[in-house]
Amino acid sequence: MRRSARILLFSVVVVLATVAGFQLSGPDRKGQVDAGVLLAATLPDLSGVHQSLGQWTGKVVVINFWATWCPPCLEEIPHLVRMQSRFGTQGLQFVGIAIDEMEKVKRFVEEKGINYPIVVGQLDAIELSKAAGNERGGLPYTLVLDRSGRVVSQHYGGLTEDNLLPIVQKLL
Amino acid sequence: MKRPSLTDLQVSVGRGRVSGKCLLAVCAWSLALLMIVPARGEEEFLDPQEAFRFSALLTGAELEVRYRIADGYYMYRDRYRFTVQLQTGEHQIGELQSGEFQTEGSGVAESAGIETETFDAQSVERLSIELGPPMFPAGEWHEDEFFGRSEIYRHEVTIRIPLVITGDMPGAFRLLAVSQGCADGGICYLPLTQSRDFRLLGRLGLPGRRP
Repeated sequence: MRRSARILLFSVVVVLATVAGFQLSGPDRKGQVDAGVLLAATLPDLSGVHQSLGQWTGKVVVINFWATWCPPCLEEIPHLVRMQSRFGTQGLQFVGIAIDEMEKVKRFVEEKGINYPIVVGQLDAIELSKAAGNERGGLPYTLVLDRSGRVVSQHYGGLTEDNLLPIVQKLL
Repeated sequence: MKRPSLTDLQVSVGRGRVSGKCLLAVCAWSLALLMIVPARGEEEFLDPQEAFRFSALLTGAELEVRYRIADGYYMYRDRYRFTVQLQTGEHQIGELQSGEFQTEGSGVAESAGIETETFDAQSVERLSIELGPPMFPAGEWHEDEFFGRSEIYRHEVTIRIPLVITGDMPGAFRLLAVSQGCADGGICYLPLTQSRDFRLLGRLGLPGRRP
């Protein structure tokens, strides 16, 4: 009986580890995300000054593609704001890429008090999002980059502190 | 004799011993972790071309645009935009999207074979096509905390757009349809542009004349 229980335990661990591995290593598994394209990109911030996405390499960077017309995007933003406040000093850096009109984004950022950099684009941001693995053009779309600039996670749909925390905490 | 349940088991792991309860706790915790850390993949969602299947038909002086919307997906009524572009150059009818195109006779026929007709800049100058205001059916109301009530369509929607055609035919034009929709699963798609090419021959009560 002891032997069968050991086999059971071993099997459970193998199955869980396999499933977890598949769930947590999406981008690397598919090899779709070229961090180089992201890090080389520049887009204008809310003042119109072009910002390079590579400037935050060295931090754990969470790149979030969003739009003011996308309800699931707006729903997740307060979670990202809270995480930026909580972990910013430990090297966590959120960057929002709004696929939208500049004026709408400015108003929204002011109203909601977004505390991380926002850059804005339209066709160029759409192309960037696609080059970054978002081939179906869904929003929100979020990528987590480790301190070396490697994409370690990609996520479709809204995030919360609960599901983002386990991903970024091990990178900080 | 009572048969031992899994929670009664003592399992050796390496040099230590792990109780069945502990084993169950580890399993439950791992499963819970997998449930709260879903790295959601693109494959979970349909390609927008599949989620929002587009077709368009020219019937008389009206375009009939239809979207077949996959279950669990919806489209916003106020985000449709339709435009037409007159086409020039060699136009291969066989390259038109599958489905129907207007023929000289009864209006609708299946696309078959490759025919070529050239519409030069001069013929485009002779023709003008404008779209009237689209006529939408009633949708259903969707509530969210950010935009309040929005009218949306699920499953299928047919939008009728009057065509105002002046000048001479034949001619060819492309209908560009921009739409935007979301999945109940929690993503919204970037505005989607789909198109359909048409050839006008100048019958069915449309203005213009056959050369």
